[in-house]
Parts: sequence; C-alpha cells; structure tokens
Amino acid sequence: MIGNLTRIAARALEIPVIAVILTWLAFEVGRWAQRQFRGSALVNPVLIAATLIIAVLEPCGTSYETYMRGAGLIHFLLGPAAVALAVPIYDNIDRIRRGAAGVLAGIAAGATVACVSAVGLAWWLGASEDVVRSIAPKSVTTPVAIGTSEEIGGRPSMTVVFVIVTGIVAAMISGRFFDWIGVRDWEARGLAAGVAGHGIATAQILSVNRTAGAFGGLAIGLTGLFTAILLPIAIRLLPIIGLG
Amino acid sequence: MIILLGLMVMGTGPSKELRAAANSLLGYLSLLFVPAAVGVVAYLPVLQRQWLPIAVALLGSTILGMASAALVMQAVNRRYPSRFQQQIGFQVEEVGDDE
Repeated sequence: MIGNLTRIAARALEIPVIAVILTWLAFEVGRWAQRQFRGSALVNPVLIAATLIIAVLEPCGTSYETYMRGAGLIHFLLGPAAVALAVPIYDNIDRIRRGAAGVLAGIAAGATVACVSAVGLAWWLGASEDVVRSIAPKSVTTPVAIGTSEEIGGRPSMTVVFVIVTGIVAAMISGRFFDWIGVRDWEARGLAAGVAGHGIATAQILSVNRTAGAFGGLAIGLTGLFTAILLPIAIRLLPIIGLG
Repeated sequence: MIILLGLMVMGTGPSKELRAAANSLLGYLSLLFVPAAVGVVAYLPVLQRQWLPIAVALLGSTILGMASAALVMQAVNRRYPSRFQQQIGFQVEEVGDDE
C-alpha cells in the first residue's frame, strides 16, 4: 500500500508542474505555520517548506535534478524578482538619499565584520582551508558569491550552501534581535538584514515592513559590489602582510 | 535592478502595470528561494565532518554582521542627522503577511 503510494508519487514528481505545485503548497504550509506564531521571524517559511519537500522527495527516491525540472521555473523567477526590488527602492529614494552616509557606513561595517568573523571563527575552530575560503563570501547574494568564491579559490557549490544557510539564519534572527540591540528604526533593520542575509532575510523583513525591504534590497546590491571588489584584493594582500 | 532604478529615477517613475507586477512578485519573494534551499539540505551530509566550525562560523558571523550594520548605520544617522529627518519622521508602510 505505502509502496504503491510512493511509486505513484515518484511518477507524479517526474511531471514538472507537480514539483511546482508541491513547492507552492509546502511554502503555504510554512507561511501558515509562521502565522500561527504571530508572524515570528523564527518560524521561517523557507526552511519549513524545504524540509517538507525533502520529506516527500526522499521516500519517493526523486533526485534533486528531477525536482528542479519543475521547481527550476520558480528558481528562475529570482532574476526578475531582484529587478522588481528596484520598485520599493525607488519609492524610498528620498529616505535613502537623506541617510546615504549611514547606508554606506552600515554596509561597509556589516559586510566586513560578517566576512572577517566567518573566516576567523571557521579557521580558529579548525575548518579545512577550502571551507574557510568558501565561507568568506557567504553574506553575499548567490550569483555574486559564486563568482567571488571561484576568484579566491573556494568551492562554489559549498559557498552556495553557506549563502543559503546564512540567509535563513539571518531571516530567523531579524525579528526580536533588533529589539535586544536597541535598533528601532526600520531603515537600519532592513539594511542589516540585506547586508547579513541577502535576499532571504530581505524577503522576510519585506513581508513585515516595506521601507525595511527597500533598504534590504539596496543593501543586497551594494554588499555584493563591496565584497566582490574588496575580498579578492584582501586575500591577495594576506601573504604580503605575513598571514595565510 | 540598477538599470530599472536608473530608468525610473530619470523618467516618470514606475507605471501602474510595472508596480503591480513587481509587487505581486515581491509578495512571493520567499517562495522563490525554496528550490535552492531544498538543494542545500540535500548537500548538508557532505559537511557533517566539519559541522561545528561551520555552524559556529555561520551563526556567529551572521549575528555580528547584522548587529554591526544596524548599529553603525543608526550611530551615523544620529551623529549626522539630516535636516528633514525629524520633520518627516517615519511613516511606516505596513505590508500584511497575507498579501
């Protein structure tokens, strides 16, 4: 009986549209769960959806490649969505102009601290060199992170994992955490979410506050630019100053 | 994103259609990350041997990076407040979870 069911499900998952529907349904369950906890950022719909989908794929013996034949369609929309982020940024362009000094300082500080502390902690706790190199660009949006990882001798596939996990972690702590450190204004919250947790944390904070989402979107772009330019230079300088 | 932003700043801003399309896409922004996240969970066993340094590094650096970005921006804005900042205040636009 259960064997038959998984066989049928496995066949169904080979149809691309079924993978799309499964992804959407799992995401709706995740969002419903988040609502049950009064929208708490700790209950992350992306993490819940991914876990549910794996719980379906695994017993069916469906490979990630097969799943992506349909789910790739959803993944593809990330490109247009990144472009769409220009709309909330445009709506907040006056706020951004007024706070430009704070925006640039926040991005430089956040991107540097995230990168240096990730590398430092991983190295200090004895991670292998390819992990240390792959973890450096982990706060940057995926396409930029892949390019930067290649540039500095990391493993891009591993970097993608670190990027996604970082985004989910950042999305989860983007709620109460800001109350604890005394950051009340939505501009700084959004910016920090974008700096530390790229699109995934920005998506979470955008669902709470649109101004925060705009600053997050801006931060994704600028953090990517900042890291892609400075990280490879920093890595080349390390041997010169006697480290690495 | 930067090109579209540039066009909107130079031109008349987003049209109604563009705004509607962008908003509906952004309403589902989280959903778009799910397929990539599925790939990650499948990859996790590979990293099992070094899970502790990786977990500490990812969690620690995310907390530190987020806190420093937010605190530095807030400090700079307080130190150099623009003239309009207090006048205008924060008009918070709420986006409901259901949209």
